[in-house]
Amino acid sequence: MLTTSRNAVTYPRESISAELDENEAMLRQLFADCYDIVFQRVELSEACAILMVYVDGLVDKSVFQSPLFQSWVLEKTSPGAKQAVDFPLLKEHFAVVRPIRTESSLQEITESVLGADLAVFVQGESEALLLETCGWEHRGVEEPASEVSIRGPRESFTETLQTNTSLVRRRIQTPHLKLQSVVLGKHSKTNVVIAYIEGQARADLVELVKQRVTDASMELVLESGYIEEFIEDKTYSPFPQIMNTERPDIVAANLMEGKVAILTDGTPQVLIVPITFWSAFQAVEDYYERFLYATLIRWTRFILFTVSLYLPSLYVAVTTFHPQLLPTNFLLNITSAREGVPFPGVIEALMMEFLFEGLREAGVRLPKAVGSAVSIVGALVIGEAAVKAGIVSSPMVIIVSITGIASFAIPRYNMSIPFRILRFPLLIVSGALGLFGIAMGTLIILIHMARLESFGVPFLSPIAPFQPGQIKDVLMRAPRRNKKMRKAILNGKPAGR
Amino acid sequence: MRRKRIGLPATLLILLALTGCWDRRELNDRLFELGSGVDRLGDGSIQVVGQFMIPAKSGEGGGDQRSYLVETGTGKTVSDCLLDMQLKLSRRITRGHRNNIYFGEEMAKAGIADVVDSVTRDPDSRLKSDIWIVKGGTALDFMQVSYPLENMPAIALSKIRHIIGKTTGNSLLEVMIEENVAGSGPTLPAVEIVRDEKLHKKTLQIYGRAILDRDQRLAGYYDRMESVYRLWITGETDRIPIAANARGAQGLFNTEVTRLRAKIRTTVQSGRVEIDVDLKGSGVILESLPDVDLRDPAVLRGFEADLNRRVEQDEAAVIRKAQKQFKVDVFHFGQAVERQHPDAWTRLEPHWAQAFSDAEITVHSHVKIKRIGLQGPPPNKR
Repeated sequence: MLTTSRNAVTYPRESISAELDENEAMLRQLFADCYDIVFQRVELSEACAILMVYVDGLVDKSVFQSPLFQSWVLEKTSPGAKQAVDFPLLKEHFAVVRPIRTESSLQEITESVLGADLAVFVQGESEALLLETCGWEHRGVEEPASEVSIRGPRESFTETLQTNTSLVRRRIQTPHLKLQSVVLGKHSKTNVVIAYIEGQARADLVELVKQRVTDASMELVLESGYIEEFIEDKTYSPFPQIMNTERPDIVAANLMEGKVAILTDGTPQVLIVPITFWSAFQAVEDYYERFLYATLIRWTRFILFTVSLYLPSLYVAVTTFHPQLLPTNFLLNITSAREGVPFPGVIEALMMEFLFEGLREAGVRLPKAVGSAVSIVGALVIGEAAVKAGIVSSPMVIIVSITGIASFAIPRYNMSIPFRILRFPLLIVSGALGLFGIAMGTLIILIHMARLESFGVPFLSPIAPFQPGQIKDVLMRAPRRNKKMRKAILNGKPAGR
Repeated sequence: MRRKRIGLPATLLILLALTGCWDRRELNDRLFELGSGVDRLGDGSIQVVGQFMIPAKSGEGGGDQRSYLVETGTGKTVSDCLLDMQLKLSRRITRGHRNNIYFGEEMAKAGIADVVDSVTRDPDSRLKSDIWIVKGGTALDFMQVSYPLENMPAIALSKIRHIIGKTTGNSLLEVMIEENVAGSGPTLPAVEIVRDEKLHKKTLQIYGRAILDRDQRLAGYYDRMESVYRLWITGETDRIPIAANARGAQGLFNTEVTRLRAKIRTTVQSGRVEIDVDLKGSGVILESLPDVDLRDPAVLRGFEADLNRRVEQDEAAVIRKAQKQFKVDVFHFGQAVERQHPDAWTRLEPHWAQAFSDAEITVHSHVKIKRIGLQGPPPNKR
C-alpha cells in the first residue's frame, strides 16, 4: 500500500475570510465529492449565522446536546435577543464542554477537521472555533490474540492511541513517564507517541529514537511495521532489531528497564527498542511464574531453538556425508526406512520443509472454520500417504514435525522468523558440504549477529560482548529479590566495546 | 559496489553446484559393511569376506530370509580384494560401521601385520574395531553362521563381548599399543564355531585369547580361564571366578576374587632373569560343597590356603605355557624389566623372547576370603 506524493493539497487562500458564505463555498470546493464531510449551517437570525463543519462518524455528536450549547441556541432564537453572535461568549460556552482553540489558517482548519475536530465558523469572524470532539467507533480492550499467557493480565492494546497510552500510564504512575507525540505520514497524519522513563532511559538513546522516528518520511502509516522499517539499523538483516508487542505489561516492564516504546495510532502493535537476541527467549510469563520454572523453560526454549534451526540440516549432513556418526542400530533403522525413497536427502528435506511452511501459511490465513480441514489434509497427505507411497521417508516426516514444533516454542513471533528463513540456506549448504557446510553457515550467521546492533546496543550482548552482571536475565531468570536492576546495558556503564 | 555485493555470493553458490566434487552419497547408494573377514588361500593370495546389511529386510523382521549378505573378493592385497568385491556389488561399500574383523586361522598363522596396515591406513575404516581370530576355521565359514537373536551376526559378538564385561571396539587399538610395550606380544580375542550335534545347529562362541608373537603371527590360544589369569597379571580385569578343591574336607568350593592386584618384581643376574609375581585379591565364596562350618576361622584359613595354592598352580601353568609353548611374553614382564633394570634391558631386548622363555618365574598368591555368605555349613548336610 505504497502511496506517492503526486497530489499535494493546494489551498485557494491562506486564511479564512470573515464572510460565512465565502468560507462555505471555499470549503465545499475543497471537500468536493467528499460524502462524509458535513456542512451544518445554522441561521439563527439575519445577522446570526454559524457554520459547523465536521467529518461524519469521527466526531462525538453529544456536543450538540450539551446544555450550554442548547441554551445558547435558545437564547439566540428567543425574541428580542441580541442580533450578532457574541464570539467570545460562544467560545466560552464550548470551552466548558471540550478543549477549544481558535484558528484562522485555512490549512490548519482543514487538517483539524480531518483529524476529527469540529470547526465552527461564525458570520463576521475571520477566525474559526475548533473543538476537539473526536468520538469515533473503536474496539474495546480485549485479550491479547498473539501473545497468550496463562498467568498475567489479559489486557492488550487496541487501535486507539489514547487507550493505549492510558494502559501504559495506568501501570507507571510517575511524571517521569514521558509520552512525546510525533505526527508521521504526509497523508495519514498518524499520531506516534515515543514513550520512555526519564532517568531510566539513556538520554542519547531517546534522542536517537526521536531523530530516527521524525526522520521517517512516509505518505501513509498504517501499522507500526511502517515505522519499524524506517528506524531499524539494518534493513537487509534477517533478524528483527525491534521488538513488537501488544501487551501493555511488556511495554511497562521494558520502559522500566530503560527502553523506549513507540506507540502508533491505528495499531495495537507497540515497538520497543533496543532489543538483544536473547529477548527472543524471554516470555512475559517468565516474570510471573516462579524463577526455577522460568529458568527451566528458558533452557527448553534454547534447546528447541537450536533444534528448529539445525535439525533438518544435521539429519541431511549426517545421513548423506557422515553415516559413521550414528549408532549402528539407529543407522540400520534409518537405512531401512529410506530404502526406496527416490529423492536425495536434501531434496526430500527441502520439499518437506517447504510443504510445512505452506501448511503453516495456509493455516494462518484461512478462516477458522476451514483451518481444521487444512490440518487434516496436511497430517494425512504428508504424514501418512507420502510415506506409504514411498515418496518421503518416515524419519524425514519426524524430523520436519519436530522442527516445526520446536520453531513454535520461541515466544516472540517475529524473532522466530529469521530461524525459519535461515533453516533453508543451512539445509542447502549441509546438502552440499555436510557438517563442514553447517559449521561454515553457523559461522556466517554468528559473524552477522555479532556485527548487528539495535540502537547502539550489540545484538548479542550481554553474552558477546560479555557482561557478567547482566547475564542473570539471559541464561536464567534470577529470583527478583536477588536481581539487580539491569540498567547498565542502557544506562551508565559502556556497552564494553 | 552493488553488483559486487550480489556477484560474490552468487559466484560462490554457482561454484558450489558446478564443481561437482561433492562427497554426498545417499544411504540408498551405500552398503554398510558391519563385519569383515580375511582368509588366506592356498596360493598365498588373500580373500576378503564382507558381511553387509540388506536394508529393506532388517527393518521388517520376520521371515526366513537372511537380513544380511556375504560377499567375497580375492586378490594379492586388501585393496585388490576390496575392488574385486565392489565389482560384484551395486552399492558403494561403506565401512564406517565395521566393528568386527575376523581372521581365519590360516591367515593368522601367516601373520596379520600386512592386513592391519590396510585397516589402520585406510580412512574409510575405523580404529574402534575388534579383531578376532577364528580358532580352527576360516573367516568365511564363521561369517556364514547365522545368529537368530540379532539381525546381523556381526553385532552379536560385540554384544557378547560387552556382556562378559570387556570393552568392545578396542582390540585393534590394543594390538597397536602392544607394539610399543617393550618385548610384549599382542593378543587378540578368539572365537570358534560350535557344532551342537543334539540341537543340529552351528553357533558361535567366544573361546578365549589368541596369542601372537612380535611379528603378529599366531602362536597359540589361551582358553577362557587362562585368559583371565593373564589379565590378572596385566591388571586388565577386576574379577575372576576360581574353583578350588578344599584339601581337608573333600569337595570343591567356588569363589569370586575381586580387587585384583599384581606386583611384578624382577631381578637380572648375569643375563638370567628372575621374575616374582605377587598376586593380591579378596575373595567371596559363592558356593561351598564340603561339609564344614566356614564360620570357624581355622576352616576359613584352610580354604584360603587351598585357594592360594590353586591360584599359584594355575597361574604358573599359564605363564609356563607362554614360556615354553608360545615363547611370547604376553604379561608385560619385559616392560617391568625395562623399568626396573633399564641397563640390563638394553642387553636383553634383542633376544627377549628367549630370555623370557628361560626366565625363572615364581608366583605368590595372597588372596583373602572376605565374605562367606549368610550360612556356615551347607544347609542340607547337617
